[in-house]
Amino acid sequence: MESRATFLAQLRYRFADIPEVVSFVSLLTLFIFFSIAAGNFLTPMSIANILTFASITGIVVIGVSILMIAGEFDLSVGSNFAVASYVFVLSLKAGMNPILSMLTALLVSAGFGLINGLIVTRTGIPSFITTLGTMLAYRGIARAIGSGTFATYTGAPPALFGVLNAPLDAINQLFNPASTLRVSIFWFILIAIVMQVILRRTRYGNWIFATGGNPGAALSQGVPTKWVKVSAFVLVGLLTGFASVIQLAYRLSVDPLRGVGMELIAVAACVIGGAQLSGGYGSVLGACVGMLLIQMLEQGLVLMHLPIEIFQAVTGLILIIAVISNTYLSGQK
Amino acid sequence: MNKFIRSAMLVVVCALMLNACAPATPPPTAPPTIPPPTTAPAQAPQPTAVPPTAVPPTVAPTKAPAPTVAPTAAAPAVDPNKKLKLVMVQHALCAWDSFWCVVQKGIETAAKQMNIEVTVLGPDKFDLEKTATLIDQATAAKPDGIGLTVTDAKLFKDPINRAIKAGIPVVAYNAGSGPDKDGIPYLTYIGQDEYQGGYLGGLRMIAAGGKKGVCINQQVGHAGLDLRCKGFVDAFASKNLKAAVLGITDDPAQSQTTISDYATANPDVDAFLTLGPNGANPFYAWLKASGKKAGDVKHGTFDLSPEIVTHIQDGSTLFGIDQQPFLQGYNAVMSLALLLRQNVSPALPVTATGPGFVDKTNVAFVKALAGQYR
Repeated sequence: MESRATFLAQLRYRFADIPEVVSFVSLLTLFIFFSIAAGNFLTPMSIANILTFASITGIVVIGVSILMIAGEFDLSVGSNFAVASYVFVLSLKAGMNPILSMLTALLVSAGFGLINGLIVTRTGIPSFITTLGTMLAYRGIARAIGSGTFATYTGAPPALFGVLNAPLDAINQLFNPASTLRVSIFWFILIAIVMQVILRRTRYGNWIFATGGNPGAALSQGVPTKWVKVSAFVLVGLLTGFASVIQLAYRLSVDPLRGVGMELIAVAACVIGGAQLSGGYGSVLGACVGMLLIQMLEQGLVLMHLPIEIFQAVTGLILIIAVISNTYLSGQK
Repeated sequence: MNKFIRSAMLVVVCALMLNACAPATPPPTAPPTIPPPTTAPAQAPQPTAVPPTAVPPTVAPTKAPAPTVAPTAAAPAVDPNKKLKLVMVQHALCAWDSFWCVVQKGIETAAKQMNIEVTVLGPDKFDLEKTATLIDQATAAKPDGIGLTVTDAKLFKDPINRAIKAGIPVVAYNAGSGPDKDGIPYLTYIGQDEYQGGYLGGLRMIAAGGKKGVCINQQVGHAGLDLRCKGFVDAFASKNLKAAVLGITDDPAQSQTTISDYATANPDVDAFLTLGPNGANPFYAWLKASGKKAGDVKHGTFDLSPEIVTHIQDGSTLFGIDQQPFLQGYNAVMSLALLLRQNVSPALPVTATGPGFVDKTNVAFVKALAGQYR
């Protein structure tokens, strides 16, 4: 009994500073399970589906994870996502230069993040409430600028679409069925690496952790906590806008409900990845693994010919197990 | 660590450049084992006049189909007992749209009768991007056949072509315009001509005294529902009358509020077309809450449900346009089974299941079937 307690204590000590450990173990367990239980899981198309479909929401997840480490939420990402797509496609249809259109969409999304950040830091209203309000407001804007209907890009795709999200045909055609690998995977990996480095190896990254962990102490040490929070909100907005334009470059259309529910998937991925709702703890890498896990779960259930309805139940179960494990390992219980 | 990051970035940039130089995707071809139908492209009939109530209008092609040609490759062996796994991907589920319970009942009945394993996939809410993703996820499972709704031909084109290229036979049901109009080489579309339904419905409402119309669309972006509204608006325009489209959602409470707000802002609108139970139910709730009586406004709807039948009987609803959802689900499974077991292909690009008008004169006939088989 004593040796078991010692083992657990050692385990806790070793993994306390590695927030991604639970998500990695969960991902590996699920991978092994589906490899055995789900036919066609270890095929190029299945793996490509997981990577490609995780990559776009994954870019949003990266931003949300940084904001959560800074101690705040953003429930408006799904609505922001829809607005960015509308701005992008409508400005393209209006004849604007593709790069300018993209920059406009990114500017609008970052602006929405700035509004969230300013409301939270200037008024002291919790970000949960603030972004709940802006989630509804931004969704209304998406509906208004889209006149409540679909917007579809019908012209010849500009070269920019290829840079943003072209199919990786050179690789896809090697397989049958042709797989779904797209450039968005590279953007996802690139942004994840850059953000993980910023978070772990720069002063700004330290400020994010300090602001989320103990804002009072951080402020007394000279960390501009309000600025840090506002910048994290802007970053989430920017990454949401970028994910949105990437998706539009592939799907070519946007509807008024695009992105609904994305905010909860993003939070779930971050929590599975080790982030804590109280802030100050988590990692970009863990959140990305959490997103891959959610996508793998969905693909695996389809391959097992199981009803898709149980997806949410299984995701919820994994979420709870992850939170319990993360809480234990981080030494809070 | 810095060296690792620099290397990783270099790999990413190289991969992007390599991909930019890669050749474009070759156009997909139909699976080699399935002979493509050789019939001339079906042309949708031009709306002319309101058909008789008791006889549902059909959307048969205007040109007689040419006989199909025998397949050039060796036909697969006939095996009536072949074990089959099918996946049906649709843009809505019974869980949140009661119309789809009837479709799924058709799918499940056919699967049971023919001893086929069928999985039904769909999004948690109306989400076409998610539905497109589900098609790719279904293809990865390499089922024997896929039935799907072509809710947005442009958005679904790539995923459906990937499934066809993988040699998986694909039929469309409920939503689509046929392989020719959609530009996707699936086998057949089993459903109704949506534009016709909307147009003929509009003409009926005008004939009943409607002066200004609104088409209440709960799934804006669904190509089929958009076509219904287009037909409705065109019918009004053909009589020099005005009609608009009101977007609502599948949330009944929110939709009731939207309808109420619209009716308050536009008191001269007297003809309301809803596009299924998820539009009709909030409309009925608004009708009741506003204190209006049967006949105060003209109402017509697509589809049938026990609530719609009750309102046709009491005169609040002029008609329900029946597309026979049970038949759509059943026929989709049966068509795939016939192809995969007996090597029998669908003959026509469009296999019509509607539109058929159910009104006061014939509602008694379908009352017991509404929500079950119709």
